[in-house]
Amino acid sequence: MVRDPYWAFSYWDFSAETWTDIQAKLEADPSLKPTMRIHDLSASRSFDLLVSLETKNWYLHLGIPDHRYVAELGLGGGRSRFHPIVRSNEVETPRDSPSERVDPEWSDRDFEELYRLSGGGFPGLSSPGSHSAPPAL
Amino acid sequence: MKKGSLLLVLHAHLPFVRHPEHEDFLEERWLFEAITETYIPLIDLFDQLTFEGTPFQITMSITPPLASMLSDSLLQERYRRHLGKLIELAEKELVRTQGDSRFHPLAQHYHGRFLRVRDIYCNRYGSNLLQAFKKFQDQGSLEIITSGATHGFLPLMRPLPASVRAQVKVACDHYETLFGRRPRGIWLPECGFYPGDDQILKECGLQYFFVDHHGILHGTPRPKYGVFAPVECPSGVFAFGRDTEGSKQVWSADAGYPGDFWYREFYRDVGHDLDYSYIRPYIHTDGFRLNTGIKYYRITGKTDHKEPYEPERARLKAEEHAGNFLFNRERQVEYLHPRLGRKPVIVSPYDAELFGHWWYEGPDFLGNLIRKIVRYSEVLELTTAPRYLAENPRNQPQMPSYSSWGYKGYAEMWLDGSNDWIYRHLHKASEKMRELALAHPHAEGLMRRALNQMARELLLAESSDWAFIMKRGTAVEYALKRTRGHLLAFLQLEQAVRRETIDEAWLEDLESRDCIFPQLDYRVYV
Repeated sequence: MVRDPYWAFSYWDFSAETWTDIQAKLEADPSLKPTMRIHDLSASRSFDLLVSLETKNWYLHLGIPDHRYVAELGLGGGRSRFHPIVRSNEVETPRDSPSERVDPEWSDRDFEELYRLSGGGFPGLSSPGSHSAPPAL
Repeated sequence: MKKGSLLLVLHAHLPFVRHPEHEDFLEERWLFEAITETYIPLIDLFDQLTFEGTPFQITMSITPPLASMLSDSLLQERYRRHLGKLIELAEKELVRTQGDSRFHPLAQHYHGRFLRVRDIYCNRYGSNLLQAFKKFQDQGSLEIITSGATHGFLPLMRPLPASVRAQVKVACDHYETLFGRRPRGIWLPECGFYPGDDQILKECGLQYFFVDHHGILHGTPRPKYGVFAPVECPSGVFAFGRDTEGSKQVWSADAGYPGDFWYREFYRDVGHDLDYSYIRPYIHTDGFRLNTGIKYYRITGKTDHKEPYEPERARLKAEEHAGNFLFNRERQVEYLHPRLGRKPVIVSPYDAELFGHWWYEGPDFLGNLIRKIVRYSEVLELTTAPRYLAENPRNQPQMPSYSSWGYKGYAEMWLDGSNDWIYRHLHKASEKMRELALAHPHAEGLMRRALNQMARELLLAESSDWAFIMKRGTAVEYALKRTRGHLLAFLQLEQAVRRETIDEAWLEDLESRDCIFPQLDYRVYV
């Protein structure tokens, strides 16, 4: 689940059988570590984050807005060794700035100004603190 | 011709709270307070505007849970009882404050007000406020739009599109049974939009929705007019972007109008201030103090020292603030019109409950603003999305970006350490719901009822309110109880359906308790 332009949230659970299997692998090779392998599909690169399996969830710092990602949870021991356990759905982080794409039929001479006039640059700052609260007791 | 349009949106929402199993249920007061302080003052205002011949154009989302509660006979009866007690307290206050020149006029103010509320609620609209809102819609002044079926935050349902579809479709069908036609627009819960959701809106016959400013500003491609014109999504549905300038003036805790020292202080209430034995019959039946709605002080300043409230001074302030708001919007439009080369639309959405409940003078502000625009403004006019689109049918094609109007602009309010545990359960339940709906395309009798009830429990568990409350940290116990309770009922029903052992009495109990959407068809998840 995408939280914002930089972060996603992941959760998982395993059957007892899978847990046992994982334990066995970890005991057999102490250099293996529970790892989230993040594939940045927009940049064709991947990187690893160490996670704790027992928490059953992890906030993932994906880092780049407007990129598509998929994550694999598994046991890793360096770049070359990775035993995947489960794969996530694909997500896309939102932009935190205007698109580079301009429709020639719909372009403005000074987008910077319109961006500023529209409140751009500070997403969320204008959001009310109390909104959507049910009436206080 | 006017140079710009103001599109005012009041988003009215409360979670579905209805507990027939308790005589006096604390959280039901959310609805009662909002009826007395917001919904009836708004209806009173709309009636006055209609009576005096002031044509107005307001957009209002009435969410399905709120609409269900307003038309529920048990809650109507409980509200009348609640209001009766409040009037009784106001009468006692007339006696208690006799001879006190500072507080007696205030006691009279509340007494008169509550009697008027009762007259409007009971006599004018027969206890069903939806009739009132429908009347304004039918006369062409109010554009009522829908929202998520239980105000579920759609971007966090993204892995399960069936849940997004159910939230939208159930809401649209419910709207039709209440208002006699399909809704044209939707207020996405928490303004939460994820690219592609527009396709689901299209399937349900919706024509437009709203996003926060960065939804449009960061959409693809760049928006030529910023947030001052709608964009047309690939599905053909239109998105209107929220204007931040107008929002800040009303919302901002420091600089916003509602913090003015002449306005009524929300946090001083006779329920907390007066002698316990005196106030005891008017607080919770279990004996703990709570807000009654009778508040005698004004904000006064930033310290705890509070002076008595002066309604007339506050009324003048509300008029002044309405003038200031209009002045600023007019200057904004006068700059934008030649700059854009087209008529800008300024979208100003607010939680309806801000007006009257949090900001006591809010309905006065709104009334003054509407009258000033309609009668005197040569620059600005009020509009609704359908009116604006009829006048300006050609709009830029764009896919808005993922966004919400919550804290930091995305999902963090509903996804953090305080509430993230709920999603694995909600998603799993949604998956199971779809699986069972596919497995039973023609269920009948008890089986059908059980599947429908599963859908109700899932929808109720999905309300964004529970995650919001867990994060905010007040009334957390209740939010936990509701989330767990609906999920548990869902899982028990699932087991019963799988084993085909459905206990009718138990099912009937669930149906009567969680009775939202009586016409729901579980196949919405297929």
